[in-house]
Amino acid sequence: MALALVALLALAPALDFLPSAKVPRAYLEAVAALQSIEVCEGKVPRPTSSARHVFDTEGGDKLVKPVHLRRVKVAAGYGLHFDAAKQLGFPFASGEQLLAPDMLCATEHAVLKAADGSLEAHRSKVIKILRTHGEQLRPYSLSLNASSCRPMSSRYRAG
Amino acid sequence: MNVLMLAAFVDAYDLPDKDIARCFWHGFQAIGAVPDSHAHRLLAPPTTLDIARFESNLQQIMIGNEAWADEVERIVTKRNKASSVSADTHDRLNAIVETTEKELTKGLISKGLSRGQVTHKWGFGRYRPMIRSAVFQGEKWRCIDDGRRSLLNNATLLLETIVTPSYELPLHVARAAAAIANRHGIPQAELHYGLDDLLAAFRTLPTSQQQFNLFVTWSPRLQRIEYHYCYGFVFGLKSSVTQFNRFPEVTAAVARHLGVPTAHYVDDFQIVDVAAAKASGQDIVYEIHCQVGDGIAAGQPRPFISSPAVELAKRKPMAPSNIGLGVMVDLSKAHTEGTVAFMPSANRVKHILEMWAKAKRSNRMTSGEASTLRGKRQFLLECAQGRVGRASSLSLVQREYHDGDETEFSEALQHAYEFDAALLPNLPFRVELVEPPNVRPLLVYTDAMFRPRKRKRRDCDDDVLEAWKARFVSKLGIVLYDPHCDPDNTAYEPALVAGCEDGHLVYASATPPDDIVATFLRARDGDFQKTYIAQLEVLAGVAVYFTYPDRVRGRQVNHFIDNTVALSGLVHGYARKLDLARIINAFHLQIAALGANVYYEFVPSKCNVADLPSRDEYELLDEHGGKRTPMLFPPASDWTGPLDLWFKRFSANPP
Repeated sequence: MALALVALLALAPALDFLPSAKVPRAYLEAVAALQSIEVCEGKVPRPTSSARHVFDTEGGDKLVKPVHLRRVKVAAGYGLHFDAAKQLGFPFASGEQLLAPDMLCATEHAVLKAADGSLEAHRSKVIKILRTHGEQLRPYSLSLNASSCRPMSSRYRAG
Repeated sequence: MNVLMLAAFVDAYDLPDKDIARCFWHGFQAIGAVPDSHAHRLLAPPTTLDIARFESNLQQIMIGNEAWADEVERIVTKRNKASSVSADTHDRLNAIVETTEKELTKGLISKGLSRGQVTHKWGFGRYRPMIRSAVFQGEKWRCIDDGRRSLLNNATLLLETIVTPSYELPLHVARAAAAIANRHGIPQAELHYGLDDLLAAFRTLPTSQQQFNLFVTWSPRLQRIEYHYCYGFVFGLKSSVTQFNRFPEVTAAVARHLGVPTAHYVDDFQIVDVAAAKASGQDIVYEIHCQVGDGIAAGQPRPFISSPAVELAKRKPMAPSNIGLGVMVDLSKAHTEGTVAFMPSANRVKHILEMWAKAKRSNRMTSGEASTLRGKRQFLLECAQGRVGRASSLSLVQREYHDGDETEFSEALQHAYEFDAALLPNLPFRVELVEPPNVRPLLVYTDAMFRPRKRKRRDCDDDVLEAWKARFVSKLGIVLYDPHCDPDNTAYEPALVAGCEDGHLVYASATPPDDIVATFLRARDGDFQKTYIAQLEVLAGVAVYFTYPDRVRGRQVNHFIDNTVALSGLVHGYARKLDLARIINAFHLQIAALGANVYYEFVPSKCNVADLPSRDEYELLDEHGGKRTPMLFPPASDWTGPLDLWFKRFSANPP
């Protein structure tokens, strides 16, 4: 267990601002428990553009692309182009194109678990684990907050 | 704040923002070079020279802190002691006082401090205040602290920018869910859409630099200026948005790792989940925030706010339809009829029309007001069918960018207002398919032939219409093909579509009507412009849908066109030239009324079969079984009359 904790701290920098002695064992247990309920694993690539829209795919293409990149790969000939274009479908932006991999995975999980009737039970288990480990870590967090080097407490009255 | 739970999520799911727990403990940076959190989209990295310049600039700004505080005090005092102010300014000053009082009551900001207290707290020259202003948003005033004017935004270097989801997200999920169900051979899942909001948003994000979340207001009671600092982030600092968004980025990602389809738009969470989940997805999103936050369970009182928390009072429970990001999204038919509908919320329409009405009443629209109105209008039209109404923003663009200091509510603005007043309350719902349809798309080619006449015709006089013919040779060609009507096509199924009795291939050609070309813009000297090819290309587009409306209604169309200016105008729904914009506007109104979806695509002229009828060559089309029909054009009065006529004509539910 101690070895695992050392390994986690070496590999998991989310608490690297704390001396390792201040990281409680409950933290390691929480990380392990959270990993046990993870259904969509893997890193999501950092976004490189703004959100996708259906119209980007289905609204048309204002660019004059090289012939080999066009939907109808004909550079000359009325009949040739017409015959090829007759077979075209209408562009369709699929869910796979529009959603990030983790959103797609979450959707798949929800659809499949709903179909086999196990979704609600699974989610109850998830909530229970979140509560258990959230409550176990809370006292450590409160103690940590008390040592905060923030200039002033930020407690606001609920409106 | 349960900082350890937040860190545990980051470590358990290897989330990119490794520093977020430390920032909640220590406070988030407000100004200066803000380190990359890895949570958002990376901007172009600054060069060494950029960084050196920024550091030098930052130093210069900080040197002037005390002088700036003097200036802020002078401005705020002068503004509040002025003997006469406009009604707008009076309302704004009152709103600043009232909203500041409210924030004080809620404990979001510090009590009022004197300059001496501020200096004592942070040290001479080590703070920089902002001027507080207020803007009317929706139905309430919101305070904005001017980070730009105080140069605090210039003193901030960001390496990343946020990416927000589209209002279309439920459609994206519905499309994915349908494909998953098909792949696994299970029934289509009923979907629900719910939203949650975070309490006090920016204010709950602790800052390590309160001395730069500082603002100055006027105290009417004490008749002097007061300094307040915000415990979290103010509205108005450049860093507020990117820094705040780091938190929902983490919690939304956690929800997805746990199998709940969740996204967020700043502090608004969008959850699109299967109905069978019975809102358990929304419960998980709440629980994540509860556990990383103050641990207060749903329904329990929250005496004070110590961390970001879901505000249950603003919850939109999971339902088949809901308003998200100002758009009503209807998922109720996604699993039965395979459609998702979008419509702008009535409030948005009302707000835009009120902005127009106010401008008309006061006979005044500034460049800034035009910009705001254009932005709101553009967002609203995003959720209408096709590209309807976009081109009619031309007068707003004119006011925003080209009218200089002109503020009069011009005739062009009046026309645009009338157009919006007729169209916006009756905007066609946007209905999107969840799966590709069984019906194949129509194939349309359009073309315009246009060239200056080599020799002037002798039979012309000074009449405008004859003058056009004397100067130019022009003709339009249109071709429409329906695969379901073609016995030689594997998709042949005439019962599936309308109009097969008229043939699978129809085409037409015509000289553009004189009364329509008479509406085209002239050059400054009153003479014709050199070319009108783009106008004629789009006119051919208008003609094809006007000539064969019943064949096009409700269909998808692959529309080929060989002119890039016209193509760009049709794809964007917008053009800078007034006459072209008017035709494009009419075009999209027609398409929207017909409920058609059109994909515009380039075709080389040498491949454009519509080129043939525009040059009176019919052989090839006849060989393909083509039938020649007359080409029809909307009556001349429509081109100069109210544009919403174009929508009324073909709309099932006309305004």
